[in-house]
Amino acid sequence: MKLPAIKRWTAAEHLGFTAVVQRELVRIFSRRIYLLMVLLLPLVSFAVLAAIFSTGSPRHLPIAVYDADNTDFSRRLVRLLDAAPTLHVAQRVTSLKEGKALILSGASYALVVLPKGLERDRFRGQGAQVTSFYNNQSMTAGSIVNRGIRDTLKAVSAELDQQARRLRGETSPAAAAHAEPIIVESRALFNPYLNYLYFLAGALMPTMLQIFIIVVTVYAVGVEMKEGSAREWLDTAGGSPWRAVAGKLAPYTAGFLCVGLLMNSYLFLWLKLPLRGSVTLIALATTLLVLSYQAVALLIVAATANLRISLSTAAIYAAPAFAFAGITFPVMAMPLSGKIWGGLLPLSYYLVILLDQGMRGAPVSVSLPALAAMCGFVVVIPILAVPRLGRLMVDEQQWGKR
Amino acid sequence: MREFIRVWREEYRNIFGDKGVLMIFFGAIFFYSIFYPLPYANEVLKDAPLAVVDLDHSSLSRQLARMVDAHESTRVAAQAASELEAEQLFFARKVHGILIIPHDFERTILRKEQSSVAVYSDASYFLLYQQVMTGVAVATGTLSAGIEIKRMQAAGFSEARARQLRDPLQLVAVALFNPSGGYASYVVPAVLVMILQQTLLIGIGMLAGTAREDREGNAAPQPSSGHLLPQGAGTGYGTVIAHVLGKSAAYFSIYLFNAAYYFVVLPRLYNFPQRINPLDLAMLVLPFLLAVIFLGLSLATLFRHREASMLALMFTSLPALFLAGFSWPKESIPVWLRGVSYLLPSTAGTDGLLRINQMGALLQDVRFDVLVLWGLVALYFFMACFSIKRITKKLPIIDSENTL
Repeated sequence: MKLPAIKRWTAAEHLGFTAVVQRELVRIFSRRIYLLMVLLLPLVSFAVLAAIFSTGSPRHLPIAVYDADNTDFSRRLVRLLDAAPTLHVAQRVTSLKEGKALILSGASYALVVLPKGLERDRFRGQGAQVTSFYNNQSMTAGSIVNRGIRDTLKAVSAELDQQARRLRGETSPAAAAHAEPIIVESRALFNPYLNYLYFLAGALMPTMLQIFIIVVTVYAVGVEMKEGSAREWLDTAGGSPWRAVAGKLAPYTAGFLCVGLLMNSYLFLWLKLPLRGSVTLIALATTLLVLSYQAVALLIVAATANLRISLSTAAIYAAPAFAFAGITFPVMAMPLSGKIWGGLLPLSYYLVILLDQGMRGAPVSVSLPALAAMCGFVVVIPILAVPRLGRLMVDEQQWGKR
Repeated sequence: MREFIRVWREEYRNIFGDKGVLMIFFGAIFFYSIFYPLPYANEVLKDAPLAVVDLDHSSLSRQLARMVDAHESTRVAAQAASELEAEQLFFARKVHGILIIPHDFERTILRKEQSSVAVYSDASYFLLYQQVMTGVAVATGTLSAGIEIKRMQAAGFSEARARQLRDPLQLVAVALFNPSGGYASYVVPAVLVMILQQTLLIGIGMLAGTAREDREGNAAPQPSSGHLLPQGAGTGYGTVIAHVLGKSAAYFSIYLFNAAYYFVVLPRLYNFPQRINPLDLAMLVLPFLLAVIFLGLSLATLFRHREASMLALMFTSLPALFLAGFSWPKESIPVWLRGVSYLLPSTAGTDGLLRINQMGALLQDVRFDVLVLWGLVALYFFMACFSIKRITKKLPIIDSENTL
């Protein structure tokens, strides 16, 4: 009576979750691609992204000035433009054509034209006019430059208005109130200095991470079919596809979790992104990010039963995710199809939580719906994927397909 | 020369006999051309929602709220009774801005003193932030100017004169190339360049990885399999060059169509602002495609498996896109990284193509990009020849009936 029970127990010890984990560790260390893709390349790509945006916000963007007036006043304007933190007067040109060529070649983002008679018009109080042409194809730089030029000239204009009012006999404080009856006091919430590193790096790094997770998982599972080792994999698990999958993915879960938490530390501790909410919730969301993309990867392999096609599918799913996640171009402006697709990406929910609990410092309750959605991916998708995957493991006709 | 034509034809057979490669060279090209522009279909973000906390309840404060609502970039989505209520709406992402009109707003202005309104805007989403700021600033500015101009009219100035006096130094700002600030027109043309590069690199890598699997017996050979070099062929430089050029001719001829689809047909379909100079465009596409192809062939020998190129290259798209300098200004990228980024054909390629295709530049305007691309063509051509020669020496030669 006793003996078979013990035997079954030892068999389970040999063939089961732990055995699959051991088998997987051997596989991981036998091919350099795994360590590259799980640890090294994600970290390198994080560092590259952080380096790209390391200046935080663009400064000293080159513009060209065409000063046809060449008076004390126009020269002062040029100096003021150059002194604006976002601008740098890199070129003086002597014709519109020359200025336009500089914009076309990328040597400058804008051309400011100070027309002949500018100082004279100003003295006569005749509404002097300055024209600027800015490159709005490069929208980030173009709008920063445009704002820089506009603010500089507005300040000069306001100052001239004040002078004129004082000449007309108004007192200083009254003159200010009269010139602008209503002023706007603006606050940029959460990211007061409009730091692009905070804005973009916080979203791009998780986007990179999800690509690595899904690609590695698809590869690790799909290659078992391609190379015909799926049966042995299942046997090592003692015949249970759930144990086979769990044991196989566990080392990657651990690896990506480390990378994910390193990513969080890198963002919040090293790059100093504002962290105003719950650290626990962020860590939890990062864990769910790893698990949910592993789940989606399983579904893709189960549905296509072909390594190459599943990799292509994973590419289609994960590579354009940044556009659909709604950070740069908000979800509310997307067409319905775009909203739906974005909703099918765990990344969208993760970024909401990361923003809520990082920069925004929102109450925990605000993040719960997104958290629930991520849990949904982790729970529902394996139920769809694993049974079919189990059938594929024993279906030799599916093997070797390229 | 005969060798060159033979390899060219053989590579066509490899490509068209391989569903995986076809899916990348044609399937992905077509699919992404529809899928990528999808989220940006509406081009601009209108009616960013904001909450108004009106503590004044005067006719002037209501007028301001109406004007903010009427501006195309903003919409008053909620009237909040208190700042706390507005804050809750904010965290729930129901609104992305809060406009607070203070108590005494109207009375202060009637007393000819200065009143200020406060606007809080969501800087965790830059586009929303911009829209909220624009809407509030324009509405408030218009209201403020109207009040002052009426006062000056009452003092005896004409309206035109009053406007002149109020703003003695006017700025006329002209947005060039993408006047409406369309987001798709801004992002998609650059992404298209990246898709061409990445699919080409991955496809070439897949062909080479497949050949390698067959050669090394990693998998059962298939009739459609390709070869790095034909069996028994010499490894002299003449043969190697003929092979590099023969394969390249096959890829190039296919991607010429793809490039025409991406740079000529698609911009029209999507109504991107386009000012095309066909000859200049062709003179830029030529070195761009060649540089990518030779880079692909240089990398190809690293891939031992059919899927390896996908695995290794997929994640590079995003960093490469931001290194291309179309969105994040190239002047703000650290100098060392900017230098390295020019090793990717996409960096000079994106810059040059946007200028020629979207901005109407001529070849002479983008001569720096063209120069960089031809430099890469030369560099990667030698690398491709070198690595193919090396790998051919290293690999065992097996007899195969596939060889011509």
